[in-house]
Amino acid sequence: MNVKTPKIGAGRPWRIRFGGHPRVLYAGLSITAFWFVLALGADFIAPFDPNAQDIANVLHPPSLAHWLGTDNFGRDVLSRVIHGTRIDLQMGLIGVFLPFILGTVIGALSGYFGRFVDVVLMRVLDVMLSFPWLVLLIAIITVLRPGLGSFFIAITLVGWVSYARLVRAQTLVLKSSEFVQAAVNLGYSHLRILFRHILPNAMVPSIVFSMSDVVLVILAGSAISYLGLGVQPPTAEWGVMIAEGQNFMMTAWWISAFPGISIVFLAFGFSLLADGLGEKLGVQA
Amino acid sequence: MHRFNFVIFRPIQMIPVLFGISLITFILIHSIPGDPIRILLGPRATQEVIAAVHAQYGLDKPIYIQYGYFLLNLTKGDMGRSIVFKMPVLALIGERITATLFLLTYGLVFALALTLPLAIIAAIYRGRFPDHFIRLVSTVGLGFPAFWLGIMMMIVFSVWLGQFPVSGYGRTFVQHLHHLFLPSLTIAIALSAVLVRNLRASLLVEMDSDYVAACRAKGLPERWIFYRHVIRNSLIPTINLLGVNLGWLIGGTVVIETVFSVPGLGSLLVSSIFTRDYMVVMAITMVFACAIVIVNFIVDIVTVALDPRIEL
Repeated sequence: MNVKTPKIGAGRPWRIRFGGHPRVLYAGLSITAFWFVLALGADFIAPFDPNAQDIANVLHPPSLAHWLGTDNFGRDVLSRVIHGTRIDLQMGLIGVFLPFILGTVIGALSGYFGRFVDVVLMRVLDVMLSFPWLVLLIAIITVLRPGLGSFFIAITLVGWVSYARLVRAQTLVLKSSEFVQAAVNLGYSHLRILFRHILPNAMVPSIVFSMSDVVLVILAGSAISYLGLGVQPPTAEWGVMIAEGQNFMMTAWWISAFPGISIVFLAFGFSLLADGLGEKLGVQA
Repeated sequence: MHRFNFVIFRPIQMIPVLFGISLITFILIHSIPGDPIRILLGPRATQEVIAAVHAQYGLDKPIYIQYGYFLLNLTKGDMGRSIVFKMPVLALIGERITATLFLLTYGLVFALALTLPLAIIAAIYRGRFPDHFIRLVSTVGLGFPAFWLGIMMMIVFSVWLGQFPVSGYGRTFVQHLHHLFLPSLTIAIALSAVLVRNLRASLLVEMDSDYVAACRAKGLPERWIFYRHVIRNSLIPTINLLGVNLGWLIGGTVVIETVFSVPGLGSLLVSSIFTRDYMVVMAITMVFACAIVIVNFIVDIVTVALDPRIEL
């Protein structure tokens, strides 16, 4: 018969044991922890007010007073980068959390109850996947008017697809496994079986994927802000800062350079986290 | 040739997807804030005129009939008019599409030129320094914002070294190659980061498989095994990944065209958002989606051609 057994030890993502040499995982954790500290303590760590203008010190190259230089309004680039961490990290986390929840619920219901719901879902997935997602994101934000709130709505409408697909596939496999059969025979309700027994096991691949998705969402969010459709100036956000610096790239390279390096470094942390977690849980991200 | 039968049947399966694309586009157009007729006629139009034009365009009909009109117009190749450029949207897209296609192809060629050697070196030196180094670089590369990379390359190659133009497209083919060098290199670097990781992984899987051992036992030289057998088999997942990533590649092109002011569909899309030329935004979104459906179809054909075992 075609009964597939779930991978032993693949479940319970909340009980990761740190054995062996999860160097990649540790490196990823340290880098992301660094950014979390920076975001939470921005007010104490940043040497200047991110929006304080200093007309006497405009377009200063990196120096001892201003480690990363100043921009065209004399604002301290280092302080703006540190404060930008808050927005970009928040963008990445919320922008993954909302699609994660929506996609997981839809994927689980569709995989568990199947039939008509599943047929419709599969067709919707086909259509959604054929849109270039950044372009669809831009089109939805256009309708909603530019802004951070619109970005979150749009990323939810576009991003749930990947999670629905992953969870649906896992649910289909787990549905026919023995422990689910046991739960059925015990007379548990459908919702209890689905949310207490199947979902905790079905979520493992999506948790690993969500880490690399943070990278994609931060890149998309900063790109949207760069285009002027997301976070609006004068808020210190990395994409906005890069866009502002582009006007002065002939003379002041540091305005655009450092926010970009921050994006790369933050994304690197989450990529490592995804790789390390995937290795740990036996899932290919 | 029954393996290639899907070439005939797949387009039929694509029809519902294309319908879905048109439906989503239609919903988006409908959710646009403001009355398109009011925008079209300007602020001085009277209520009667507006109502008359509404009736003329069928905007007073129920929504499913409007969707019918929308589909009917699509079959005639009519995607509405651009308010800013005062011309049919389709003609406008036709004008701009060459630059985008040029940029995409150019970027793809660069991406392959980067990916193939890097992945092969990483796989051959598995677990040793070159492998670790390439993996590190490609993991870092995953997080490169393409727009930032573009600006950095402009600063280094155009501002500091004075080698390449900062923006534009040029007139002749050679000028295109020169103008689009940095934009396509930017796209290629971002894309290669994904492809190198994937191709390296599938090269390693193939190198460990039984047929390689069989070739060795037969006494074939390592080079021959690698270039004749291993690479050919590992390319299939990578080509599929390329098809999957096309949407992502197009998204990158939109941003890069804006960074380098390339007169393509992407920069038109972004500028149309700010001029509220909504029909252009939606038409470009739809054109991109249809392009992806078609390219994935072609990817399927290539996959079947490369591997005689695969049947679709």
